[in-house]
Amino acid sequence: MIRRDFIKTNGLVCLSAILGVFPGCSLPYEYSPYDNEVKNKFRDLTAKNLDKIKIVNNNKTFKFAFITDTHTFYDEFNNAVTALNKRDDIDFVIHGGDLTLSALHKEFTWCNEILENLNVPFFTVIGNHDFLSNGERLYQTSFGENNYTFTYKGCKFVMFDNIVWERKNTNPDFDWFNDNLKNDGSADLVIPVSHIPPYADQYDGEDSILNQILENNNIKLSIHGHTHSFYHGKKYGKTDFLVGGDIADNHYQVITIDNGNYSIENIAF
Amino acid sequence: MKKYIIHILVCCCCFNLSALGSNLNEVQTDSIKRKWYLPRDAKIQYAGNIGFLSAGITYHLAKDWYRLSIMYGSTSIHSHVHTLNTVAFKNTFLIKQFHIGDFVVAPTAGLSINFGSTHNTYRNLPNYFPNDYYFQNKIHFAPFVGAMVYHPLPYKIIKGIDFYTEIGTIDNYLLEGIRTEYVKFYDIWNLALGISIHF
Repeated sequence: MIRRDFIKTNGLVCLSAILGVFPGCSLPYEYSPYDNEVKNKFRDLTAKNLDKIKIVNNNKTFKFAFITDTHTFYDEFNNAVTALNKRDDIDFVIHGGDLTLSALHKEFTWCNEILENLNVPFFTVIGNHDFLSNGERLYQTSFGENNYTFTYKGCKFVMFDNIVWERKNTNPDFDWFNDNLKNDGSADLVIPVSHIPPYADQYDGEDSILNQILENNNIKLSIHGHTHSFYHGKKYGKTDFLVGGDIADNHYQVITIDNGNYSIENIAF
Repeated sequence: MKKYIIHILVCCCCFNLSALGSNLNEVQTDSIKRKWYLPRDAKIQYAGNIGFLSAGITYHLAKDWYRLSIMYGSTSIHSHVHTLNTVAFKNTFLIKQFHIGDFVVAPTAGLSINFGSTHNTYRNLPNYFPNDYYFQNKIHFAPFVGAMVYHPLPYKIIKGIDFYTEIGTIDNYLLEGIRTEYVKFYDIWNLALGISIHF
């Protein structure tokens, strides 16, 4: 009798547990703030955005927008996307890294949800904050490879992960960077984009290998984030640095490319 | 939010179902003087920011209204990442205990202190970072509220079983829920389910 009661009671109790767990599979369970689970629509975003870039004519004049260091400034980030969506002269948007603050699972989700609202394609580089915790893995699942290039209307963009300290204080792949900055004549302009400028922490300024590679490859314009303050100008030699402020500054930059020349506007929103 | 409510209703229905099937009337009492270091229950939990699955032991303190669980959870089997381990010190307070037939139903609230381990989680930064470059990201405080249903069992070793469900979050998400308009307060919460075997 006791055994029957036991089976009856615990059978129902186990059934309760199973019924509780299975409906839960589609409900908002969080396994870890460092979890690498990313919704399908937020996976491989770099490849998906590259597919979206369509060249409608051979005109080598175009504009793109630059934002960076959005961290957890979600309200300002959302406002920036709204402001960018009001324009019809931007072909794509580049994000200069630090998409998150602590690289946690939901931080990537919230960032992706905001980026998803952009009317134009977007491209990203990884920032030092995105490297925290399990962030590099989450970044790669969401966006793809850390280093990649794409060419648009004769302008080659070299998107480079140049994080040092968060990579256990080891160098990023400078050989890849150097190789991809070389212009075989097919591009009117080569523009590297990486998170940390050579004059900020993690690099030694003029003597840093990052700056040497930029100078040796006669790079006209190098785009960065990280410092949280806007800067545009030359620091050491030939290379012009554009460093975006964080999104809490309520500014984004618009870069106009015209047959290998460029101009920069700092736009308030 | 609607999903949370539906799920809680499903869980409540399940608990009621098991209550109908029960005719155990004798609540077992713990007649053995227990060593202080012996836990009072062992539990296994699904989700709740301490792993896909986590397991641990619990001490019942302060006349049974405060429970300290020491849990280990892993997310590797879910996400194929080998370094997602969490150790949690889970403090659960039984706000009130309702005796309904053979069952004890208790609303709960608490705070879990979670120690995470990944590639780049730090309590103290390596010396190549400047001082205070990052705030520590190894320890997260995870508040939760929930409910527990306990049923005694007439056995010498296993004296009872309880099921619990919790809605919780972690400190970082709570901060964003409060600080920003974009992150809605209902966006930050997630569910956990667990079973405890009482000794």
